[in-house]
Amino acid sequence: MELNILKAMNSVSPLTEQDCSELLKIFKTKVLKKGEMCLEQGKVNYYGAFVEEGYLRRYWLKDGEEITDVFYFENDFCADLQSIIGKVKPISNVVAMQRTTMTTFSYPEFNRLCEKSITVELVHRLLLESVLLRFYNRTASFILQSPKERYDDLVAAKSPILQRATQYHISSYLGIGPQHLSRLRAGK
Amino acid sequence: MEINILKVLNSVNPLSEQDCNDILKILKTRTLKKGEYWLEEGKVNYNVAFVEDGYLRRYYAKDGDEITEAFYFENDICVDLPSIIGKTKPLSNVIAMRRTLVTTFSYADFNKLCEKSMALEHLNRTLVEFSLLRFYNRTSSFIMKSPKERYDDLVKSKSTILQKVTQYHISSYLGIGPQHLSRLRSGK
Repeated sequence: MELNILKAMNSVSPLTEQDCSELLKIFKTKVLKKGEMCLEQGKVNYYGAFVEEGYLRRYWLKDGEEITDVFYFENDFCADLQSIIGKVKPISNVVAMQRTTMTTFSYPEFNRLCEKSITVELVHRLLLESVLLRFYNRTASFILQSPKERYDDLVAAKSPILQRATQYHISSYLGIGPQHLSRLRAGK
Repeated sequence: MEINILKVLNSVNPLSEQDCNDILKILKTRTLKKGEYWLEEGKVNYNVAFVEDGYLRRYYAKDGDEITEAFYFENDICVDLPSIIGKTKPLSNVIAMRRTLVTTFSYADFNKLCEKSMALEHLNRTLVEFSLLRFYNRTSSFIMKSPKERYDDLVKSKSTILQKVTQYHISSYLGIGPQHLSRLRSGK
C-alpha cells in the first residue's frame, strides 16, 4: 500500500531521499476496528499516528459524559503531545469511528531522526506549529465566539466534520445540545 | 546591561558561540511603561518578547470585559504564535503591568538563523513545544477541573501569579469572580 504520510511531510517542507528512507524504517501500519481505542486516558502512548484512511475522534470523559474535542480525518496527524512533551499520562481518549488505517511511529525514534537531519527537524517544528494553530483556533473560538458563529465557521470551511460525523458528536464538538444543533442547521 | 535571554535559550538547548553571536545581532531592547501595550488585538506584531524585568498580562477583550489569559514574568517568552503561523492578526492583547524591560527579536529573522543551524532549529521546535504545552494545560484545566482545583494547582506550583498579581486579575485568570477567589483563599 502506498503511504500518504511521506507525501504529507514532504509538502510541509522538502525532505531528502536519505530522510525518507530513514523515516520509512520507523513507520508501521496499524488498522483499528470501529470502536477500537487509539489512545486511552491514563495509559502512556508516546506514538504519533497519521490517518491514511478512516477517522478518529478525541474526547474528554467527564462525569460519565464524552466531550468531543477533535476529529482526525485522512492526512491528519494525531498524537497526544500534552502527555509526550509533559512526560505525563494522557487525560483524553481517541477512538476509531470506523475501520481506520494509520501509519504510526514512535515519537522518541522520530526525535532521534530529528537530531541527525535539519530538514526533518524543520518538518517536525512546522507540524507542531500547525497543531498549535489548530488548537489555539479551537480554544479561542470557545472564548470569543457564540455556538452559532462556531457552527457557521464549520460550514464556511466546508469541514468534513459536517459530512462525516454524527449529529450527536457534532453538537458535542460545538459545545451545545443536539436540539440546539438542529435549530442551527434549520437556520432558525 | 547584561541580558538573560541567551542564558535561558542556552539552558533550553546548548548553543554554539556562532549561534550566540548570530542571535545577539537580531536582538533589540525595549522598555515598556506601565500600561503600555506589547501586542494589540488586530495589529500585526510578528516579534518575540523575552521579559528581562517586570511583567506582562495577556487578555481577550469581550463585551467590554477583559478575560485574562496569561502572565509573562522574568525569563518568560511572549509571542503571538497563532497569528504569526496563521499569518493573521492577534485576537488578544498584551499589556505591561508595570515598567517592563523586554528583549525582542523578529520571528522571521530568527527563522532565517534556524535555516543555518541545527541547534537553533531544535531550540525553535522546543520553544514551540513549550507554548503548546502551556496552551494545552491551561485549556484542559478549564475542561476537566473546577475553579478550586485550578486555584489549588496555582498554590501547589508556587506560581509567581499569586505573589505578583492583583486579586482582580487572578480571579479573571481562574475564570471566577473576585468574591469566589476570596472564599478559596480563606479556605472556605
